[in-house]
Amino acid sequence: MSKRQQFSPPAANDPASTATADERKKSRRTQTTALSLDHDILCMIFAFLDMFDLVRCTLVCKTWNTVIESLSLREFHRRKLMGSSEFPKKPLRVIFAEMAMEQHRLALQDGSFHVDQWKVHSTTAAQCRMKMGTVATGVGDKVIRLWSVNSYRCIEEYSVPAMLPLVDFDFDESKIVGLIGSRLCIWRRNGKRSIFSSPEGAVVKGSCMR
Amino acid sequence: MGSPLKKIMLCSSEKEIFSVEEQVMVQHSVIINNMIEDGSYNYEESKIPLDCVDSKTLKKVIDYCTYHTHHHNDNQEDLEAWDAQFLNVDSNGLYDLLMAANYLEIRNLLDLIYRTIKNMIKGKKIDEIRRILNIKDHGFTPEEEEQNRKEYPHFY
Repeated sequence: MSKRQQFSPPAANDPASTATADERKKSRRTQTTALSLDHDILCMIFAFLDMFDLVRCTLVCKTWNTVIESLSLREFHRRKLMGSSEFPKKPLRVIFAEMAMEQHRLALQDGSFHVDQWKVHSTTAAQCRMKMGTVATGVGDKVIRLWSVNSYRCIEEYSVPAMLPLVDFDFDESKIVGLIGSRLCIWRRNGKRSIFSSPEGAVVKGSCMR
Repeated sequence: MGSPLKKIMLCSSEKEIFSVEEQVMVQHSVIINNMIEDGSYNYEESKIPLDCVDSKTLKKVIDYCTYHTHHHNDNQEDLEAWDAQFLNVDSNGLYDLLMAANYLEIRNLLDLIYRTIKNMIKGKKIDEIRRILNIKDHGFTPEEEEQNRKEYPHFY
């Protein structure tokens, strides 16, 4: 029997998880849930996450909030993020929001910021407009394409009638409007297309949906 | 390390006894390896009591260790596919495994579970994380929760 007692839980010398075998046994009667994971285990999981996930995790539940805002983990990220400068006693999400604004400001100041690039048309796309997470590109060939900013994928494509060059375009939730020569072309986003002639002759770039 | 055919006894929280090849557990569990090495396990008498591991979980853990002992030469893809299938359990089953792997210090299983849980959290919205990880009581007061939702709607 004494030999058996030499077997001790792996984390027995750790103050954060000093539950004895008996206590653990008691807790077994209830189901193991995310909330019953101890501090060290949670820290191990959180160590795999980046700061954006961590910030969201602070609002998932109170236990996670306590662990993530706890000094050791903050310390870890303080070193990772900001070198040795002092780390104010604010929630992580506030700190990161401030950092993001600061980065944004600096980026605009020095003109160096992250750029995502992808090919949208086989020829030059001379114009693009962005609204509600969607980018429309066109002018230069015979199509207007709508792109999802999240996936960089083309979500919709509208072809320009082959008679005259596309001068300008704009879009909203329900339609794409293109100025083609002296004509106004409206594509419903469900597929219908209507063309109207403009009485004043040729249309001017920059005047679409303004 | 003991001889390959020796068996050791593991005892679950329900007092069910599992007889396992010693090699299998020694190779995976730091704790059991230490016990065998320092001679504190008596092959005739000892049963290793695992009071915090139920039979269902212990069986899974033994399956994992057995498979990885006998298939360690398989190609990485096959092993990963097996691991994915192995961890295809509900979130409570996953936590049970995590606690057991932590208790027995089975490092590769721990690492696998950590990564699995990480993938359940990564890039997800809060409501989704709560659903996937089966977090029913978030512990915030209704006022705090409302305030957070108001302030960070894009997190939810």
